[in-house]
Amino acid sequence: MDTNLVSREDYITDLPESIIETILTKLPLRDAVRTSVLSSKWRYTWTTLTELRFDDDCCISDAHHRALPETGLVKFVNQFLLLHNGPITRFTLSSEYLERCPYVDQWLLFLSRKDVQELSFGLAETEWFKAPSCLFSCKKLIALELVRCELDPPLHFKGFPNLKRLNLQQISIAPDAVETLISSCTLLESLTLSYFEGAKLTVRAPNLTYLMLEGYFKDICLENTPMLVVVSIAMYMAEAYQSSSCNFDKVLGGVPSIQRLTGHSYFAKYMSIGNTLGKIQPTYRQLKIIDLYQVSFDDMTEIMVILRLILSAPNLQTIQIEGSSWSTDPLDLDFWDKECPRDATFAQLKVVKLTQISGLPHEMRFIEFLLGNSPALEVMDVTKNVYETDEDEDMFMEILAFERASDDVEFMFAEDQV
Amino acid sequence: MAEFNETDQTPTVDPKTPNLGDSTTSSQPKPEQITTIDVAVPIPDVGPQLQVVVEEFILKSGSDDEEVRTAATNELRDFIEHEEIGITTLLVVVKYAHEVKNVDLLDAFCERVADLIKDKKVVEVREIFGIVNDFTPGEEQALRYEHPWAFED
Repeated sequence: MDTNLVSREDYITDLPESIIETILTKLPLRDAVRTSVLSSKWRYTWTTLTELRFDDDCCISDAHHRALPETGLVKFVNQFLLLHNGPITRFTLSSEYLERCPYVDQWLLFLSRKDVQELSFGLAETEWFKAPSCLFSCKKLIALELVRCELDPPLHFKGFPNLKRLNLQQISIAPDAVETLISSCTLLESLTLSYFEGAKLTVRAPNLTYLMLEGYFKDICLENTPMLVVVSIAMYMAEAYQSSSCNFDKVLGGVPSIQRLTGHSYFAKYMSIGNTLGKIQPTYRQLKIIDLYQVSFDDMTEIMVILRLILSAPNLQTIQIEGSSWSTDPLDLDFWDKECPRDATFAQLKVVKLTQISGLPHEMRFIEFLLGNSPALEVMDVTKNVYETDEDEDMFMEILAFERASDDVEFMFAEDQV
Repeated sequence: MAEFNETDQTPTVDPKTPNLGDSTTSSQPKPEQITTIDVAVPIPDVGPQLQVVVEEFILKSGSDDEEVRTAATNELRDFIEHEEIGITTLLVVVKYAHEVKNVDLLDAFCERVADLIKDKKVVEVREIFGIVNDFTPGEEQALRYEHPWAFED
């Protein structure tokens, strides 16, 4: 640090206001407020900050004081907002300690009048915060993130007209209310629902490009989502899914531009209901990466989901699958000889990464199928589950012996002690 | 926009720290970098090394490829973190970035300036930036009292 000039000239104070604001925005609010004491010219610069972030680091450090509204975060926010001058474009409040109190509702009311564009609220776990109706009058919102919140949109609510990004985590909301919320925000590009407890969800969002759903869903239908590019779904409900239609079509029937698909937990199982291999069209020309977790290779129907996916994605480059299989007693093993399209070619497939593999018959047939039909394959990465009693090294040897369509495959083998 | 023969590394590190903006000699680009960059607003004198870094960054930040832009930003941030750049030079670049409206350049350098303010006492910040305190002791005390939580140290 250059500090050997005794009296340095002040180049900073007279910089244009917007530069000072950019610098102050990158400071924790405490430091920004401290600049008010630097000199008389700095006294009010912090009060025109348009991006505010309040969190537990903003105020006094000891736990006792933190919890009290009179000290701690509440006081800080109150005084800050009271002195604030001008618009607020981004407001973040994130606290593990702050519980619901009347002030929070007042802050939201204040923000709704300041044309806030980006809002992020997350309070303590003890009591979920019930969003006041003034939240729904923040018409300028472009991004909204809520954690541990009860949402009850008023009847006359017609959606956030400018909302592009919506992130709801641990939210309590009526099922049709969340569907209406999503469909009424017509500009919505990014939607994330996590820790979601809701039975059925139908998504209608014509401009949506990014979708992440995670929770206890019984049924998911992407009804009007033609622009989706990235889809990530985690389904935690274990019971058998009831469905009279094909779930695969309900989820992926209308996403021609999809580039990346990620599925967790019971996703593969959900997708298998009502699925057939039938006549497969190359439907997903942009799909490059498939990432599936906890896929049960014991279950032929789940394998058919994967096959349907890779057979409909002519430009697929990467497959990553985490297995979750137990049974050494496979059914339908003759599928691979009879029904599996042996003349398929995965022309762009470069990387295959498989983890939690146990060397079960279906797993081996699947690996054999990929190796034999991927002329451009560069990496075959397999991690094996190793049980204490297991001394069998044959799995990797067997894979190496499979016929390969690509001369340049790099095999990466590893073992995971289970 | 410009003819740019991309060299594959940043210039060799000059052991001297860059000038503080009061140097009168402008630098000649080294022979192996044939960069004919036509910037609308010329970069003020920040020393040869930093000048090249900034020029290269501005070029890459105009690329259509997001990966190129991201890599350039990371490279710039690394450079700023590891090189000792004087306060005045930092602010000169900040002002320049603002004038040419290069948001990524502005962001990267403002972040560095903010790092110099973070967690410091007010007297330290004044000293670093040469800010003259024109409050009376009474005024200053009253201000600190207005936001006691900000001044708990």
